[in-house]
Amino acid sequence: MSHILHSFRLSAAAVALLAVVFSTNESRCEDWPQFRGPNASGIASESTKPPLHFSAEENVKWSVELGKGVACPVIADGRLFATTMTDDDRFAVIGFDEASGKELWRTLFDAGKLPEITPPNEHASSTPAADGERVFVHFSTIGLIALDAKTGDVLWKHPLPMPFYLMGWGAANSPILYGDTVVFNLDDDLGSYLIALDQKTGDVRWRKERPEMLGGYAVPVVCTANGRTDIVVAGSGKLIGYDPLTGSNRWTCNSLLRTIMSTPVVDGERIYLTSQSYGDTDRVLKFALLQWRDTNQDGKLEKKELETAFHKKFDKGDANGDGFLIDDEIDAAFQAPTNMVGGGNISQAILGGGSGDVTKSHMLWNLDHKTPSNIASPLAFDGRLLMVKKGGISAAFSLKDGETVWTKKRVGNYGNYYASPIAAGKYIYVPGENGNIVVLKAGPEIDVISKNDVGDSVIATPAIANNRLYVRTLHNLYCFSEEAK
Amino acid sequence: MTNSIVNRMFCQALVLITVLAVGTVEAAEFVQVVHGPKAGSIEKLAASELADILSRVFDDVEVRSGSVVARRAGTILFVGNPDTNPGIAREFADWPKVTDQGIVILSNSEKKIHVVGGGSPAATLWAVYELGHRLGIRYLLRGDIDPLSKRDFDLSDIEFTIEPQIRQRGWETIGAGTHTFESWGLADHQRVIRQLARMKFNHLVLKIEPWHPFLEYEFEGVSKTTGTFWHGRKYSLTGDVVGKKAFGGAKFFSHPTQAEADSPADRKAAQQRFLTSLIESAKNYGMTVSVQVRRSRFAPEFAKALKGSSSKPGQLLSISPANVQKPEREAQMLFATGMKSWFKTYPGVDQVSWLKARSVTRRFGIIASVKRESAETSVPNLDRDRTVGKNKTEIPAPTKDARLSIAIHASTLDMLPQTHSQEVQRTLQDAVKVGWTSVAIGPSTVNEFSQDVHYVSRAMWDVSVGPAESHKDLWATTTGNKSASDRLWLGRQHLEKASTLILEHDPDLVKLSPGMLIKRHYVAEPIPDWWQEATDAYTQYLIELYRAQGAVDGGAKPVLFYYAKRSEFVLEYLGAVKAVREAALAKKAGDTEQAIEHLELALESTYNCINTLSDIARNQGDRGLIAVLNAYAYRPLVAELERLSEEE
Repeated sequence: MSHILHSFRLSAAAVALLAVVFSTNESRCEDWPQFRGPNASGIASESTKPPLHFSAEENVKWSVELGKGVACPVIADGRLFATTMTDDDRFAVIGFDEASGKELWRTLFDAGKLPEITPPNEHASSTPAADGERVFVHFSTIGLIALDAKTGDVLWKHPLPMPFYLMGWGAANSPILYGDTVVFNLDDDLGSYLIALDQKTGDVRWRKERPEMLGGYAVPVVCTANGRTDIVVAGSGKLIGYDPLTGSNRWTCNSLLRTIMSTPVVDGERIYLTSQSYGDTDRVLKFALLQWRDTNQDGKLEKKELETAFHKKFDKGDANGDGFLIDDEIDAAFQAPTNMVGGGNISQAILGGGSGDVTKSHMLWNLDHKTPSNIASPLAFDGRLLMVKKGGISAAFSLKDGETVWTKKRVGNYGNYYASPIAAGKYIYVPGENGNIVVLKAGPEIDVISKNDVGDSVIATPAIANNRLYVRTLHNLYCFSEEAK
Repeated sequence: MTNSIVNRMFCQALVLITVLAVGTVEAAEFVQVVHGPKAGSIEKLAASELADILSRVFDDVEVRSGSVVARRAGTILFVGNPDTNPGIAREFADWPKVTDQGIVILSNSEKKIHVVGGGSPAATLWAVYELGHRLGIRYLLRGDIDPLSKRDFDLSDIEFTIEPQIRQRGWETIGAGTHTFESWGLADHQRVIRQLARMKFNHLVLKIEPWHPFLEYEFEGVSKTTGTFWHGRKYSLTGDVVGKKAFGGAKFFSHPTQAEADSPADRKAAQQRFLTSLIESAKNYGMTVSVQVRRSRFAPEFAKALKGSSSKPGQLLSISPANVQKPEREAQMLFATGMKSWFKTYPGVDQVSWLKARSVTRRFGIIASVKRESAETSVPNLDRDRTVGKNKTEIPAPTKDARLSIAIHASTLDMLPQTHSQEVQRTLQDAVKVGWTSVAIGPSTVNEFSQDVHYVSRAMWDVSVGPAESHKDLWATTTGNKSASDRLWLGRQHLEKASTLILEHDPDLVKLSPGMLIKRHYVAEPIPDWWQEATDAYTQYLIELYRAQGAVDGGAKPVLFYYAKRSEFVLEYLGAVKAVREAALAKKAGDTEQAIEHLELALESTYNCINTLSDIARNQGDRGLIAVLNAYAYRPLVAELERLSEEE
C-alpha cells in the first residue's frame, strides 16, 4: 500500500511540475504584480525592452481614458489591473487584456462619504497586488477587497477602519502578496498596523499594531538574509523586520525620520532606504501641529481644531484636563515618547536578517546629503542607488559602500517627482509629475537618452512587462511599445 | 368569515397603519413660490432662483414655483410687487415706498405668507439674492458657497427694505491682456455674469480695444479690417512648453471664438455671436450694457482717412498732435461713426462710453457716455486727456451721464495675488460723499478678486460696510470657523502689504512684457531689501491660507486651496526674479559657473511657477497667463542659459 502511495505521490509531483512548466510555456508572460513591480524594486526582467522614445502620439500600442487616479497599474498573467473613480462616489477596479488594452471587466464599489484629501493625492490611490487568480486592493472607506482576476467578481471584503492623517493627506497604501497571504501595512495618525490575510478567504492570519508610527506610505518589502525571510516595513523612525508567518517583530533599526513616504528597496541581503522629512532633526510632530493645526495660533491645540477622529488621542494627551494641549501634552497625544524623531535627509543601507536592535550592528552606511525625495523611492540598479527629487535633481551612490557616484545633477526635466524611477535592460525611466518621462542610460554618469511627453500628470509609477511600458497618467492609461510601429 | 370580510379587514388595518405611520413622521414643509400671472422673464427667474435657494438652505422642504397657489401650500412666498403680483396687492396693503431699485422683504408670520419683491423686476431678483445672502449663501465670482449645513425651515424674522447707495453698479469686462477677460469664452463670461447678478450688479461694461474683431464699420471710404485678440499676438504651445496639460493638446493659445470656426467669415460670425450672447446674458438678469471704447486710438487702417496721420506697422493709430495735424473734428467724426455702428450692430447696447479723465494719485477714472437715444444727435466732445487732481486727492463731483471707474487692482501687478482694499474703501466712501451714484469696477480677471468684489458689492448698498466686516461676513459664514476667518484676515493684511510694497517701490516688477525676467532683471544691481520684505509678506499670506484651508470643510476649502496655490505661484516667480539678479551679479564678477547655477535656479523657479498655475488653471485667463509666461519669461531664460553655457 505504501509503495503504491509513494508512486502516486511521485506521479502527482511529476504532473504538478509538468503543469507548472506547461503553464509557463503557454503564457510566457512577464508580471509586474504590485506597486513598483517585483518586490517594489522597480526593476523589470533584464530581457524586456520597452521603447526609449514615446509620447501621447508616438509608440502608443493602446490607450484608454481611465478617469482620475494615482495608483500604479499592475500586471499578472496577461492581464492589467487599474483603479479609478468613475464618479465622485464610485470606485472602480478594471481588468484589461494587457496586450490589446481590451477591457475584460469592471467592478464598481460605492465609495460612501469620502474624506478630504490633499492633492495631488486622489481617492483611487492604492496600487493593487495581483497574481493570475486574484486581485487585491485597498480603498479608504471600504478596506481590503479581493476580486477574481478573470471575472472581477468580488471574492471577499475585509473592512478596515478609515485612516486619518493629521495633515489631511489621505490614504495611499498598497498591499503585497507573500506566500498565500496578502500583506498590508497602513500607517496613519490614528492607529497604524500591519496585517496579513489569507488570500483565498480573507481570514486574518495575524495583525501587528504599530503604535509608534505616524502617517506614512511605505509599502512592505521582502528580504531574505541570514537564511531567513522577513517582511520589512519602513515607518516613523524605524525600519522593522517582521516574521511573515506570525507578524512578530524580529528586528528594528532606529535610524529613520519622522515621516516616511518612500518605500525601501532590497538588493541581495541589503535594504536601501532614502527619505526626506521636513525640518531638522529636532522638528518633532508637535511643531508641525502647532504651525498648521493651531488655527488661531495661540500656541495651544484645542479639541475643535482637530477632527473628531483624533479626540480620543487628544484626551490621552490632555493630562490636566484643561481642554488644551500644550508642549509635551501634544507629544503625549500624537507621537510615541519612545519614538520622538524629527526631520532631515537619509540615504541608508541596512543589512537584513538581524535580531533585536540592529541600529548599530546592521547599518552599513548612512548618508545625510540633501539628495533624497520625500516621496519618490530610490532605485538600486546596476550597482548604484539612484534617487531623483523635485527639480529633476538626481544623485547616485555606490550600493556597495555609499560612495558618491554623482550628486545634485539634473536629469533635464524640472517640476515635482512623485512617481519613482524604474529600470529595464540598460535603461532607467524617470517619470516627472509634469508628464515628461526621462530615459537615462544606466552608467556612472548621467546620460539622458530621451525626454518623452505623455501629455498629462504622472503621479503613479509606471509598469514594465513584455517589452511594454504602461503609464497611468492622472486621467489615462497608455501602453507604449515598439509594436505600435 | 368570508374572504371578502377578511380582505376588507385587512385593507382597513392597512389604512390605519398607514395613517398612523404618516402621523408620526413630520411632513416636509410645502413652500409655494408665487409670481404674478403676467410676470415677465426676470420675475419668473426670480421665482425659480428663490425656489432653488430655499431648497439649498433648508432641510426638509418641498418647494414649488408658479403663478398659482397650491391648496396644500404651507408657506407662500409672493414674488414681485403689487403692480405685478395680485397676491401681494391682496395680502400686503402697506407696501413700502421704494424706488425701482428698492428691495422689499415682508412677512405675515401668522399666515405664513411672505413677499420677496422690489420696485422693479430687477430689484425683485436682487431681493431674492439678498435673501439668499441673509440665509447664509455667499456669492463669489467663481461660484456660490452654500451654508455648511441645512437648517430647519424658518422665515419668521426676515423683514427688511433697503435701497442702494450706488444706483448704477457696473462691472467692466473683456479689456486687454492675454491673461485677462479678453481671453475668456462665452460660458466663462456667462458664469461670472450670473454671479454678478447675484451680487446685485446691474450694469455690464464691455471694454473694447481698437484691434478687437466685434465691430465693422466704414469711415471716409476706409473699412475697419483689423480684427483680432491680444493685439494680434500669437502664443505657440508646441515644443518645450511648461504647463502644457492646461491646454488639452492645442498647438496655439486661442480665443474660443477663434477655435470654433475655420473660415474668416465663420470666425467673424462667431465673434459677433459671442458678443451678442454676452449682452443678452446680462439683459436676462436685468442689467444695462455699455460699450467702453478708446477715444483717441483706432485701428491702423483709418490713418488713410485722417489727413496727415500715420501709424507705425503693428501699432494702433493714435490721435495726438504729434501725428495728426488736424485731429479734432475728423477724429470726432471717426469716433461718432464707430459709436453709431455699435448701436446698430448690437441693439442690446444702451451706452457707448470712453475714458474722460484719470486720476494720477488715486485709483479711479471718469467715464463719459452717450446713450443710445441721443446717439444720432450728438457728436461727442472728445476733450484731451487730462488728469484729475494731479496734486490733490479729491474725487470731483459727478457730471451728467458720467461713471466713476474704480480700479480694485493694479494692472502691472496683474499676475500676482493683490489687494488694495483700504484704498478702494476710501475711494468708494469719498465718491458717495460727493454724489456719485454710478460706479464700476473691473479687475482684469477673477483670481483672488472674488473677496474684493464681494466687499464692493456689499458696500455699494451700504458704504459704511468696510473690507474687514465684509471679510468676516464672507469667511466666518462659509467656514463656520472664527479662528480660520481671523487668520485669513491677517493673511489679507500680509497680501495688502506685499501688493503695496511692490507698487510703491517698483510697479513694473512683474509686468507682463517680452523678456520680463531677462530684459528687466538680468542687471548687476544690488538686490533691494524690500524684495525680501514683499516675499516674506507673501509667504505669511500663503501660510495663513494653508492653515485655514486645513481647518475648514465645505465650499470654502477649494477656494482657499486655489488661493494658496496662486501664492505658491507668486513665491516661485519672486524666487526667479531674485535668482536672475544674482546671476547678473555673478556674471559681472566674472564667475560664469555661478551665474549659470543661478540661472538654472531661476529657470527651475520659473518652471515651478508656471507648473503650479497649470495645476489649478480654472479659466482662459489662467491659461493665457501660462502661455504668456512661457513666451516672455521661460523661453528667454532658457535661451540665455544655453548661450551662457556655450560661452563657458
